[in-house]
Amino acid sequence: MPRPTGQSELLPGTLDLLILRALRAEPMHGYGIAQRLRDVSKDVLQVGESSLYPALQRLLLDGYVRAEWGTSDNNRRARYYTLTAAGRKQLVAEQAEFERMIGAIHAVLRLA
Amino acid sequence: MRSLMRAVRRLAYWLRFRSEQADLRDELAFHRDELARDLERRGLSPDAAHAAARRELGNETYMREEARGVWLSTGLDAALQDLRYAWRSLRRAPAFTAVVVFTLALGIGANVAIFTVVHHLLIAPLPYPNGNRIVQLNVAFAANPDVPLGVGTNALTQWEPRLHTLEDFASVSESVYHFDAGAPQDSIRGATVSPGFAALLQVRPALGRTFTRDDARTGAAPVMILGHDLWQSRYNGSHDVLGKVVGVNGVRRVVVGVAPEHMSIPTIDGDEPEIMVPMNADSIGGDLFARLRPGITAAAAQRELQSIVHQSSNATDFGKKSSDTALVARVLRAQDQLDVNETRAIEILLVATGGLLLIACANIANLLLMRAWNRQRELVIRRALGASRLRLARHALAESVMLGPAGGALGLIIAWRGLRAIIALRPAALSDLDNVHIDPAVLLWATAIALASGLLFGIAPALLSGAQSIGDALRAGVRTAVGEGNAAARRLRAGMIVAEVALSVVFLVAAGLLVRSFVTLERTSLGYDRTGLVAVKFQIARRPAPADRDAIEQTLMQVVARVAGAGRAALGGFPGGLLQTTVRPGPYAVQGPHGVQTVDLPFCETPFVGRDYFHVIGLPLLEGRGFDTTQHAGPSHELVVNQALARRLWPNGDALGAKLRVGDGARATWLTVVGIAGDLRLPGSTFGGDLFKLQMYRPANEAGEMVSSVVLRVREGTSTAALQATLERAARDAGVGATVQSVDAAESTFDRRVLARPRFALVLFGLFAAIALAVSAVGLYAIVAYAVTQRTREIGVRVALGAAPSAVARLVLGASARLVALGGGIGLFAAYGASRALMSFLGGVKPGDPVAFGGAMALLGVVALVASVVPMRRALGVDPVGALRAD
Repeated sequence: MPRPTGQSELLPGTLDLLILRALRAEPMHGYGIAQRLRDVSKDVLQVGESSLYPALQRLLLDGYVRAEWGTSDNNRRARYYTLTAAGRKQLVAEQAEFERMIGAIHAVLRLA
Repeated sequence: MRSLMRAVRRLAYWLRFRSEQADLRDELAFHRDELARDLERRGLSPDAAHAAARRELGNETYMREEARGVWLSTGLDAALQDLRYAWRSLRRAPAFTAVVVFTLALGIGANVAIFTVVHHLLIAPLPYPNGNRIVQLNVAFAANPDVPLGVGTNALTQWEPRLHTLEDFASVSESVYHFDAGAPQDSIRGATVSPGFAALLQVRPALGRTFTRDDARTGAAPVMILGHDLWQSRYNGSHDVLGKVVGVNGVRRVVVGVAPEHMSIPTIDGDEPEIMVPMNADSIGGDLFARLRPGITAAAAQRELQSIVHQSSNATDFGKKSSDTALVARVLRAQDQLDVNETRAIEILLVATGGLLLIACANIANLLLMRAWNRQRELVIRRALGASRLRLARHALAESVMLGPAGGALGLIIAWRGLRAIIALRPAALSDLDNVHIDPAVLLWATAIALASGLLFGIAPALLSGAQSIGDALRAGVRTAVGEGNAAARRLRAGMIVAEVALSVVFLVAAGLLVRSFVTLERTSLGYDRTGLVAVKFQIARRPAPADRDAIEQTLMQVVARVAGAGRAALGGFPGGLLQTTVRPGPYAVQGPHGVQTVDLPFCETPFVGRDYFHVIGLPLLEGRGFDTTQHAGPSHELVVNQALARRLWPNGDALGAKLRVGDGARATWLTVVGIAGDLRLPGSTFGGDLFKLQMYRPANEAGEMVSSVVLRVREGTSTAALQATLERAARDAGVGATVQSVDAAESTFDRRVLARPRFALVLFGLFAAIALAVSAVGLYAIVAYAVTQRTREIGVRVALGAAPSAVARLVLGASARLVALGGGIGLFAAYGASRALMSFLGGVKPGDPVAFGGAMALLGVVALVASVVPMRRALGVDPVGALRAD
């Protein structure tokens, strides 16, 4: 599918990390997560719904997030995802790993 | 730990599958609506916004499946796929599937049925605390160790203090009692038991008390214990039953207790007695039981008993000491209801069933291999397209894993039906088999067999399915790619067939010998005519005074004669111990050349019989005449001996008119031989072979006690039940206080006592022969069919070069004929050995019986031919052009 310019495919494996990071502050519903990622990345990261929801299911399976039904800002029933303790730990570990990787890629781009 | 939590979450997800799906759907709907609302806020019309949101969200079903896929375990998913694939491919080959499942079912079914019987007969202990330590004590003549002698109550009192390996001795004797608790009176099964009985079984009465030593004293107040069933049916389980007075065989007895439920007697006939009365010193005695002290084996107890018996074998209990009367002691666990020979036969069957199952598995492996070979083109192509060897192996395994439980399930059905058949056919001595059912242990066994065999026969094809590199396979041409197989594998397959054929031959010969023996037995003449011969036993409420005895006997005789017709009934029972026997220990003496000479006749049967007896039972009088009691008011002192006894006592042939002295001292009586009767023939070892081959018949009125049996001849096919009813009415009308205790037809008694065991063995072995033969036929078919498949090309070439159909047939049949001949040869040798083990079941047939051996070989030949003909026809139908063009 052709994409509008200025939007990027995510690096593989980073979506889980981004979701966990987005949930660090407060519980959010799926649409909220997608909005947050787009807003914070200034529309660079467009998370496709077709990868967002399977990713959320994966995080549920791994026990990094918990899902509960709540009420949205406009009084609608929405499913909120909360970071669990295991998810917090995983976020720290993944973030460190990601930064190490980015650092390495930077180094290669600069010097190689 | 983490993977465990994942598994738990995964399971929870699938358990809440519906609500999880609904959640996802709602969540996505929410997402879509929010997106539309945002778009609307940016200025799109509601309709346009919704359309755009739907577009952006894309294929929702696909997304839902993706989300659901997260929860699928890849291993599980693949396994399900393998099973689905296996299911489909098995359904495409119904004949193959049916053969495999049925072969396996036969193997498993036979195993479960036999294991159940073995478990029940040899392994399961009696249902009492420490039931596996309860033993039965016996003595027998060394000359005839298989026939135990009765053990008297004095044996109990003599042995108990001297046997230190045993404790809690008890004696029990079963009999029929005349039970009189107001109308209606009836005959019930009961037991006379010594006071230690409850202690032996470690049971407590349901009500009241058990017998004490005081109850067993001579002259003690008569008491009794009610069986649980009778208490329930007759007294509705009322507690008031204690203290009731009931007439038992004319004695008023007080009910002092009620036996616990299911308190059977640990003898061969495990029925619950309806009443129990205490055994006292006057009782005849019965079966003697005791419990092994902890840690003592039955063998150790037997050694101890043997030493005691050896010391006292000149005691008066068992007659005079002589080489004939040396005694052997036996201590057998009461739960082992089979004698040594039967145990061995059952063990042979158990081993054979195991072997049969192994062979069935080998066979199925063979069939699966054949199938793999037939599908090698498919396998090679799948590998070329990227299927991993592991995946192909898993496919092959999945098929066998599906076949295992299917065969197991069908096998259980077969086992259940088979067990019914075995129980229906069991000899009376194994009546305890009534309670056999397939228990959890056996179910576990069957499941284990099914799964293990599934894996066992699945492994070979699984290994095969990826054995060669694709490159080699494609270069070699797919048809020959996978499976020329190496020489070792070929030899293995051939070896399996040879073993199968050999096993079938062993069973066929065994079954054949048993059939021959059975037919011989069935046709055996007992020396008298048993067709339509019936014995009626009467029971007299009170022991008649000696003076009335003859009158009552004559009355009973007339009662029967009225029913049977004149000259068709006589006082007396079946001779030869068919039902029971009378043996009077001597001393006996004859007039010899050097004066009176005592003779030792420990096994001489002494029936007391009435007028017309020999005529009625059809026993020929070779010389002289029978008794005619009407001519003598008092004792005639006459005697009829059988030919064997006549020869033994009067070897010069002057038996008729000779005299025999019975008793000694003041009670000595000289009897005169007035007739010589034919010998009885007692088949097999049923009655201890030659034990009762001597008979002396004496007139009923000289028995010194009531002769309460009458034999009569009825038309063939007369029902004994109807006869019993008629006789009961007639006996009541006669008014001498007699009731009919039993009515037995000689034919059915013979069937039960003589034919039942051989028939049982025959059916078991016959069944096995059939199964083994079926299994080898399948194996043979598989191997010949495989050979044809393998050589299609060669056959095509031969046909193209002008080979006649007969040459092709020879080619195909030659291979199977060699295997059958080899297996058959080995089987014949093995069968000759095995038939010796069966000797105890074979009467009148030699182990090397040519008919049985020839028949087995002929049957094997026919089956082998049939199994080979189907693939042979395929070989004959090979189209040379097609065969050459293939590849």
